[in-house]
Amino acid sequence: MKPRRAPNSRARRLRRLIDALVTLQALLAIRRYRRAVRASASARSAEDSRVIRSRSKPEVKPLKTFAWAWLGLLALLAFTVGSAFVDLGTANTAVNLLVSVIMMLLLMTLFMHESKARRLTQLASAAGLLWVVLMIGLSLADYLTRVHIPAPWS
Amino acid sequence: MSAIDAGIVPQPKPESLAPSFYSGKQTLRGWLFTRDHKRIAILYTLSVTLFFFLGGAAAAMIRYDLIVPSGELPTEVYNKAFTFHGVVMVWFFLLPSIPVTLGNFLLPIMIGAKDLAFPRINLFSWYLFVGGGAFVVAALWAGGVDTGWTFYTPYSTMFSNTNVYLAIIGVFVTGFSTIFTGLNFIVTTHTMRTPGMTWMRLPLFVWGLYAVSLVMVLATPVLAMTLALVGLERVVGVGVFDPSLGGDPLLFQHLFWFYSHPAVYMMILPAMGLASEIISCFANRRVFGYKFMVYSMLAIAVIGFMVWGHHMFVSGMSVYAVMVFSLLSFLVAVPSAIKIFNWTATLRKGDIRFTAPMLYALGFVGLFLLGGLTGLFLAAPALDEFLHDTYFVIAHFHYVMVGGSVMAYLGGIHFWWPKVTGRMYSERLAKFAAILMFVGFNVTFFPQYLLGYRGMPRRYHSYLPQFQELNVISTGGAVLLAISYTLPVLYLLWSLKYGKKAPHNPWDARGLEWQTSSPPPKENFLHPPVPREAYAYDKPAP
Amino acid sequence: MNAAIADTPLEEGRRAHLEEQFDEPEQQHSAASLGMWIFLATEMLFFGVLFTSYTVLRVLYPAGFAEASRHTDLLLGAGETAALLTSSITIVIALRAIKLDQRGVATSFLLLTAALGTGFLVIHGFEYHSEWEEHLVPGIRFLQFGPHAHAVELFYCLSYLLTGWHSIHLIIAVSVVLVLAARVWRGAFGPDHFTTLELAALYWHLVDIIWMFIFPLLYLIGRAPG
Repeated sequence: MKPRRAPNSRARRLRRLIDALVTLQALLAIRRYRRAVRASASARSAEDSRVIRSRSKPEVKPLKTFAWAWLGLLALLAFTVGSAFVDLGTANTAVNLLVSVIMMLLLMTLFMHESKARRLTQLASAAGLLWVVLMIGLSLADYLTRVHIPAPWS
Repeated sequence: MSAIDAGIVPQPKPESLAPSFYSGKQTLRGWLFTRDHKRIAILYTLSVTLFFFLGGAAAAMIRYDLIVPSGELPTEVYNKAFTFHGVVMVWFFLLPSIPVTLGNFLLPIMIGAKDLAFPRINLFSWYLFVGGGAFVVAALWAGGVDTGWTFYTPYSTMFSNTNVYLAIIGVFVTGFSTIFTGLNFIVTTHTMRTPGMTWMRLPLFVWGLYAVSLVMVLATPVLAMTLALVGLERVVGVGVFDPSLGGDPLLFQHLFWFYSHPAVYMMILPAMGLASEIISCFANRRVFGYKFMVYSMLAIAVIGFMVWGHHMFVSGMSVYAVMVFSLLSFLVAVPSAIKIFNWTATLRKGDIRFTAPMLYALGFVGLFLLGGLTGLFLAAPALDEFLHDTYFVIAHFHYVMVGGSVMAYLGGIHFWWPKVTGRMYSERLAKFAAILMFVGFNVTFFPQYLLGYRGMPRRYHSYLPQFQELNVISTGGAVLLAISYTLPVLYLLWSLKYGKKAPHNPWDARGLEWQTSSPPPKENFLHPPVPREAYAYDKPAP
Repeated sequence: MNAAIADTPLEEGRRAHLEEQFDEPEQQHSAASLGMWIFLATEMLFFGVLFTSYTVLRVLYPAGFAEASRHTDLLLGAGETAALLTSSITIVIALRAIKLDQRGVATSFLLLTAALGTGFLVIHGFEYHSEWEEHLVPGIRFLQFGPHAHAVELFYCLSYLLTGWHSIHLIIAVSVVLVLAARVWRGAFGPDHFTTLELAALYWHLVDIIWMFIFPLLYLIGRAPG
């Protein structure tokens, strides 16, 4: 059996350094692990906390949002009325309707209730609009392409 | 006839001991104020059947008039007869029939729910339906309407002296009945499927009801407003359809047909769903190409909104629009054709039982095919130039609507009769009625293709003498048809008292409705059902 | 996952209002919400017929429609539009108040909404009156001269149709809001139970949105000089 050499101070310091590094690594690993657990827990509980919040109290928007929306709507109204006094030819109607669409989207997105069915309700209103566009569009396919054939006696 | 011949498979399971939805409140109040979708379905069945026979009586008047070339009836009476026939059959029989009777009853059960999403609105829909019908009957009582069911302007707005207003109110009110039913079905299908019932496990009948509901909610409001415009123009004397003001009578046609063409797809989509249910059961095979069946029904619903101009090819519409609508009309035939191929493929190598519902379903496939193909003839403007407003058109739409929808409806009534009433009907009489109907239908309507092709116009009480032969044959067929429609009423009513008690799954079908008792209890299921894949005919019934 | 957690008072309240065909309050709320949105889509199609007729006739008679639009009262029109836009804001403030269990605020804002809607109807009544005075009521009291007289009559047919049907819907909306205001005051709604108010607010928004499209089409054509 080999005789055990007495640990000299250099070897002792080295050993202590290695121990410290190992401990540090372990500590860092533990911290990483804990952080990961916390993160996944909070990711899970984002959903849960929404549910818990909605189970304890419904979500409300701040009043400021509504004030800005109101001012925005009135500004859009002023803009659309004002634009009517500028002669833009056919673009006048386009601008007016565009403003109407923006007002509509503003109302709809601001106050659409955040629920699981949100995509579905968006689809429902989009379908309604799209179908009106279809009705107007295909009807215009007739009216815009009619060739006027005058009566023989005129 | 043995039970096996009748297609009934012996059930090893004991009968459920739950009281059916018939027990419970037995009073008039219990029925007229019910919220139970099953009871509402039965209320609807009674009303719809009544309107069917009213419309049928008008049809009898039409066929009677056309026995002789000079017309047996005076012109005004004939005009009122075909108008009444159209209005009643379209809005009070064909459009509601399958969705409000079989749809109302089966939709919640097929998805494993306790009821529809909005039971009170469902009841309100029935009252709207009956109310609208009352107005139309009032219009008849007051002397009738002679504009045709299409209410074309400017005749309906300015020149007709008949009770247009009453008829329009009736259809307007019933329109809202349809809208609310469609709304109810869509919301129910989205939000009330039992856990495990995913979209791609739904029976095709449910998909058919979903597709038809989409059309109902998007198309019917257009009809409501269009008819309101006609009514207002009649009252005020001027309007947007008035040519003397520079308005356009064709605008009415655009708006009217924007609704009325999708309306005919409303009539056929649920029938297609029924055909899939019945054929898969009695061929004992999965439906071939389930996903394509789903997508084709949705495609028919959507593309069906883009083809309305094919009713206006000769109206004076722009020729470029004619071309666009013609192209789209050919396109919409493709998904229907896919479905015909898939039904045929479902039958192939199947273990086929020729029960009465199966006879109706097979009749549906064949007659819908003939009607659909002749639709392609009409979609070609060069042919439609000559066929428009002739008996060819009449034959075409009767093949798809009567040979198609009505046969499927009767097939469905027979298929689910045991489930709804708890009784078996007489299979022998039912088979006889089905075959008589198929024969009678063809004898009535095939000659009309020939009449139209040879130039006989529609909506005239008289005709040229050379058309008499075929007209007499057609009227003879109509007599057979009338008998074949009356027979089911008789033997089905008879079965309510004397029919054999039905087990919970007499046909060895798949689907959640066959897992509950016949008739079902009020909550539909005693224990929450566990959905599996649809049409699992290669596995035994649960 | 929630089975181990007891119902909060809010959950309890929601379950108390659960109809028998539903299994969960969230399901009932989704169904009600989806149902209302589909109904709104049908209303869009309903008015869509009038918008289609308008588009077609305007394409046929652009100059006539421009002249007719100049007869409309822009000041009153803009004023009533502003009132209706404001009412859309007040109704959602009312909804917010109910979610915060502030019955008084909710009732006041519902009444304010109804008042603004009524204000719209009153202003529009004045417009109808002046149109009557100016002989602009087609078929009943109409007298216009010039090359565009017929187109003006067609425009006013559409104007009465659009504003008339819109006003009918607004009257229904105002009545509903008044009834709901009374019920809110009597405590029928709370943070656990306000779906009906949500649906009413959606309906109100629809009535507003339809007007947003009607307004420029009737009041803003032909206003530019030259």
